[in-house]
Amino acid sequence: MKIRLYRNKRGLSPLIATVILIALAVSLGAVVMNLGAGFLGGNKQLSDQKECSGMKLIFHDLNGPQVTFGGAGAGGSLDFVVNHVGTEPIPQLRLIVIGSKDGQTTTFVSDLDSSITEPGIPLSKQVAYDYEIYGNPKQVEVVPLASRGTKKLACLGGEAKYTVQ
Amino acid sequence: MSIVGLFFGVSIFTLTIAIHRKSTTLFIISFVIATIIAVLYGTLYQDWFRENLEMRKRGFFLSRISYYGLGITGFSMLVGAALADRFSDSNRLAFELFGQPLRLAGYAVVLIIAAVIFMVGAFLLLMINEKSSKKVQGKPIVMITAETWKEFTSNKVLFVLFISSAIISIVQTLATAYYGIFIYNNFSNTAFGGFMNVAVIFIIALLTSIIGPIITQFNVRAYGKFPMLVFGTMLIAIGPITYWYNPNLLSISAAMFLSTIGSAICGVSFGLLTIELIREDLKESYAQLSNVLTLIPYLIFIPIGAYIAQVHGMSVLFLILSATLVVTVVPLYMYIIWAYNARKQKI
Repeated sequence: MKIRLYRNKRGLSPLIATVILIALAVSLGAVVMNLGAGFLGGNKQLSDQKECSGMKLIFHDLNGPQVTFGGAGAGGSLDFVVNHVGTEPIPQLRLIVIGSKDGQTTTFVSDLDSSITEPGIPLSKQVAYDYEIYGNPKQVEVVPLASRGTKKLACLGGEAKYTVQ
Repeated sequence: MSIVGLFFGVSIFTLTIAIHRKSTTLFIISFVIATIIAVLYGTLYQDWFRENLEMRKRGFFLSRISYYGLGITGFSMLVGAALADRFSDSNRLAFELFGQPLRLAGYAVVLIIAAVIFMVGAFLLLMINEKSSKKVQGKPIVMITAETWKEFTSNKVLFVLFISSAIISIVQTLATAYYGIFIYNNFSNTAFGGFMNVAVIFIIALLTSIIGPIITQFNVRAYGKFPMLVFGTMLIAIGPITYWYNPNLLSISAAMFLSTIGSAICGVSFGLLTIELIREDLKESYAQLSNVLTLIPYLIFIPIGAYIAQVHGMSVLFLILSATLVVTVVPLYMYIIWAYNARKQKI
């Protein structure tokens, strides 16, 4: 039996070989396309959502990114100017400031009112920032917020980010 | 060649200035010049290398130079990505040059390094050229003859091969152009960070491109060239469709791996088929004809692809690219296989 197997030198017909290879490619594709869908959560839930398409912010650059901190103590403030370099209007912006107070990391989050941002039009904002609670700012992020029904969606990947030097 | 290298360095440098000053006109001019010089430089380098270093005289180190090139490319991608991530637009590298304060983003630093390296390379080649004993002889110009055209239009298999290779090449150009942007836009906050994620994914493709042709050569013998072309095309299609269906770093890394293997399979199979289908004396002329003809669909479909990506998003473009391969290229190959099978001819 073994000898007969090795003596048969006829190869596969091209048509059958093609069918087998197509089946192999389809099964490989199915495996690869579903890789990481379960345990990574799939980034489709993050920035690749349809509602977030065309939303991309950068800090306005005028001799450096336009992010400035002013005031002191509880009367502090943060001024910034963002440019929307995407294609779709952004209904609202979320400001996130990562700070440091007494060696502890603090997070300041504020969903800004009247922050509809149109593509190509810079938006400047001043936001109150309490140094006594949140300490010295280390990083500033302005995240586009899209809406799905009554829910707000943070469009990660489209945010403007600035690290305080 | 050293002058060409020097001009290439200068064109990359002007490209950097264009990006820094956000000048679209300067960017387009520099990009066009850089692209033309890149092609010229590549051809001249290959000729120079072949003329001055014969294969049997290359020794252990030089005979493996293409592998070192891949290694250096991978390492450069990592360093470039690290610099681009470290000095982002909001955290530029600040320094003084001739008393002028300058603030450069990481990608600009990378481009300047590339320009300087090309200029240094050109200078080194200038020194070698002076000592070189052999002069590089210009290759004779190959003309596209009427005979080649007749052969091309009368041979159905050759014609189908040309159409399918043009489609595959357009799909790959568009997909590769947008893979990087897609990864950067969507995975900036995960894993290694914006540019580094792009570098890692492309290094996977780079490493796969080394083993791809080896795998292909064994399988082409076992399955035949056309079935392998179908398989290769299907593997290439897995890349874009994964970016559309389930984009996460794990799935797109695996898709990139398969896609690169697919490209290698198609490349090797095309090569072997061309050797069989075209007469020896028409080969160079056919290559010229094929290059010229491929330009036409490129000029039409690349802007259309870019328009789709801009208006409908990159995900839609990736879906269309995969569908194009499966719906147009695979049936073309299947037709040839079926036709040959009916005639019981070996392909």
